[in-house]
Amino acid sequence: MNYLIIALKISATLVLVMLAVYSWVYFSQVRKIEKQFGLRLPGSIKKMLAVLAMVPMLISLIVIFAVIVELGI
Amino acid sequence: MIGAHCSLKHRFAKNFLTLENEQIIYSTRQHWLTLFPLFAINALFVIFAFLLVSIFYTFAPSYLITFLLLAFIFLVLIAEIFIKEIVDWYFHFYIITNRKIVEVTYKPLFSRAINEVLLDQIRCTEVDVEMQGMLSEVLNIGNVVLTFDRPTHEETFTIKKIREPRRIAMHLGDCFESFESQYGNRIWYKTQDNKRYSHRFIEEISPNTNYQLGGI
Repeated sequence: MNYLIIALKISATLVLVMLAVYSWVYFSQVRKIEKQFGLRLPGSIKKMLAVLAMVPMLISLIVIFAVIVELGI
Repeated sequence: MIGAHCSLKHRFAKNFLTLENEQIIYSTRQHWLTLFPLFAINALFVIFAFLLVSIFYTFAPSYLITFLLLAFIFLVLIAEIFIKEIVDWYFHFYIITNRKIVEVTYKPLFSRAINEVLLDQIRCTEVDVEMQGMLSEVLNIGNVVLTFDRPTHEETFTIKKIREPRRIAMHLGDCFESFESQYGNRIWYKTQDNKRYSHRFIEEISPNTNYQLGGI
């Protein structure tokens, strides 16, 4: 059961990393379009995009650390 | 002066002025309330995620962290979809100038489309308003359908889900009337010698050469 939970945590971490990468790429693309058209997205949306890019990465790092500690590597 | 009595303008629309003596008449986005169904669905998913975590916690309290992690992924996914819809809404807008109508649909990372209609190449025959449902009537949201008469076919351009569609349609109708008097009727003409067809249309295929395509 423990190994199953660890496998679940690792897959969840991978999904989180993928979501963070997607958010980052999406954010950079939005900024590119903003510059191209001279449009300005509301600051709160941009902040949310930045948070979505950083927080999942942070959480995934914490989970990886927790899994390492749990496995005793 | 067409632009003089047309005062609805957006700063960003100026970046789309590419033709000579072009003036912005009107620029808009879809009404923000069109995002409301998405807000409601996302809120339901968030409640669903919390319910799921609480149910799992009741049956297996020792795996709370794992369930929280899964719920967090679910929430991030919902937030991504939510932000994407807002950004897509923000980058979808209509610009009407005295020379053209432009619809810009930009979906970052997914698609981009700029639909442009040059007004001196067409003739606007109808400006219709579509408002369907009680909510549209109450909130004054609807579509403005512009029908263009082309030599070969009829085409429509729909400005979707904008606020105050009746006022905008009236406004655009006035503007198109001014265009008609400014540009004149360039495509259609009445034949002088042909009795069989009351009207004919021509289309310029190569410069300085008019080819007769057909008649009505």
